Amino acid sequence: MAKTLGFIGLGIMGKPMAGHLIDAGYTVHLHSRSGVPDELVKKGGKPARSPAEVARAADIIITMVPDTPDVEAVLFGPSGLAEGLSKGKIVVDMSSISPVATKAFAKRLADMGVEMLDAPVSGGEVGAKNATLTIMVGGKPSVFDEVKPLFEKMGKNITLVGPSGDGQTCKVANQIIVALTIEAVGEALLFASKAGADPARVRQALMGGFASSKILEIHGERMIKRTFAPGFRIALHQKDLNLALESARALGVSLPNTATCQELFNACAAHGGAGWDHSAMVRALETLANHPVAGD
Amino acid sequence: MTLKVAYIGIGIMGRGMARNLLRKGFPVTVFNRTRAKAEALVADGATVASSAAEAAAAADVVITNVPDSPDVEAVVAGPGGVLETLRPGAVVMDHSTISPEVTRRLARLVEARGGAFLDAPVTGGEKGAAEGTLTIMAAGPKAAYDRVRPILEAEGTNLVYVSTENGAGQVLKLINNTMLATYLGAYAEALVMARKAGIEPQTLVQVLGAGLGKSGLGDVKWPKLVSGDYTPSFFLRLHDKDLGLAMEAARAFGCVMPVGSAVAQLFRAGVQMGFGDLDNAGVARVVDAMNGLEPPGKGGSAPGRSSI
Repeated sequence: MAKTLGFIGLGIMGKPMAGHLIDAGYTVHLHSRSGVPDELVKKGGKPARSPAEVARAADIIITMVPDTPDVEAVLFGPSGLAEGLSKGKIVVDMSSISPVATKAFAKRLADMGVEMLDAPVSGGEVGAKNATLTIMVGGKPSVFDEVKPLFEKMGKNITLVGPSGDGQTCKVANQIIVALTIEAVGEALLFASKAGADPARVRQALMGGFASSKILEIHGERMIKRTFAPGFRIALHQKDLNLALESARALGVSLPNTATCQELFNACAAHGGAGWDHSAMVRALETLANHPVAGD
Repeated sequence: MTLKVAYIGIGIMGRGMARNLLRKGFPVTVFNRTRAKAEALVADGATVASSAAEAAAAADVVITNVPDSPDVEAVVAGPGGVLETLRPGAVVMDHSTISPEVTRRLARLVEARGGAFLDAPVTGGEKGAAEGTLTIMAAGPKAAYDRVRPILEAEGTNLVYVSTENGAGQVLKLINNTMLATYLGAYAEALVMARKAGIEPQTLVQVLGAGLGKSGLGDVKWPKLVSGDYTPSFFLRLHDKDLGLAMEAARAFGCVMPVGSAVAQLFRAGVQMGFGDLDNAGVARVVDAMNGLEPPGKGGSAPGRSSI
């Protein structure tokens, strides 16, 4: 028998992800702080008034919210999931949050007989819409196997990384690579542009070579076409790099360029850019060069 | 009437400061986790207590000077801590460098006991502590500041009342220490460039230690940098801790810190590479290692390989 699902958090990422599950024929109970989009209700999604109501109706509940305190509120706050959860249910947190807090949440849920997977994603809005997300999972193998068919409706590259928290650790590692690669692509295109080369041609030339990357392809294009509407907001990447830098501080790891990239994001935010797409990190570099990659 | 002082935390700074207060006639009861360090002050006239609570019991002013936020929390609010015996109207003055947020929390706890709290971090190093020539930046209720003023005047020569709001003294100290860290990083780089160019370190210092490059920090640190003798007056690991706090505070205020954040990573590396118990000037060991240089003194001015 098909499991009944719940989905909490229907933002840029959550909305298309929940949509895929509804399209696949699952009954999905929905809740979002900003309301349930009509589009999902028309598809057959069931709006609920609170996370608790979702938890009572569903066997497997997915959460997709911005930050650690948001997950905590959805789980354990007033009318939170915990009020409606019972033994045997599964919570799958697909948000990107603190690995340390994740382990604590999983422990609290385990005490209630509820299993939890941390399953943050990478691939952005495009990946969410096309169901091509990369999903990195922490938790028990048996629980992973049970939830895997759902992951397959939302993503392509699905990996059980290890026990609880390891999915989030993996996501932090991912965000370090993404930030530093955006920075690298930004510097390279800016360099090319100031040298007088057409950054679009440079991007085109490099796409087949050793420096090719998804970020050169997608974010490089954004830098050239000046499409800085999110996408993935700088404020969220700042949050992720803060997780990286705080964890690194606790672990005693020096991350010089993660720190620098965070300062470039901070500079964007100081110019009112917290809501820009993270590819707009290039704007901080452009200020330093007094030269844009391309005209606005 | 002479203020009765409890001094908790007899480290490099505390030793000099407590001794200086005793010399200037204040009755001081001392407590330190490692008792022997407190006992060393008996000859100077100190009374040794066996807990923070015991030290604070009769004090008008309780001074804390310990390494980190959890240490201040423990000696103030932990078992056997100051709050257990604090007299109403007494002032708790924290000379440690800790989190502004923890500071505010402790201040509220002290107030709830009828006391007043001042965050009063200091700068001026071991020498300033022993000689009573520190810079002290204090924040908290003005009445409490006025009450402890005779003590501050004994401890320092540059007394700065920052704000009525607890935590502001700590923020100012973090700004100060971030700036000092960037100096040290810059000194280390300058020295590497000179050495690789075949310029004698002493010749470099003759220029950098004078003119616009002259600084109080340089007066103390250049000899260490040139000799490679990093006998600690301020542990590198504590400076690393301060930089962590500073970056946290910078984030809270929405500051962009391109230089400070880079230097903070160097200090982090210093701790991981085993230089935490060296003087903070030992951050040069990190820069040396990146350059494939032995510290001066060992390899002299000649570039040699180190194991990076």
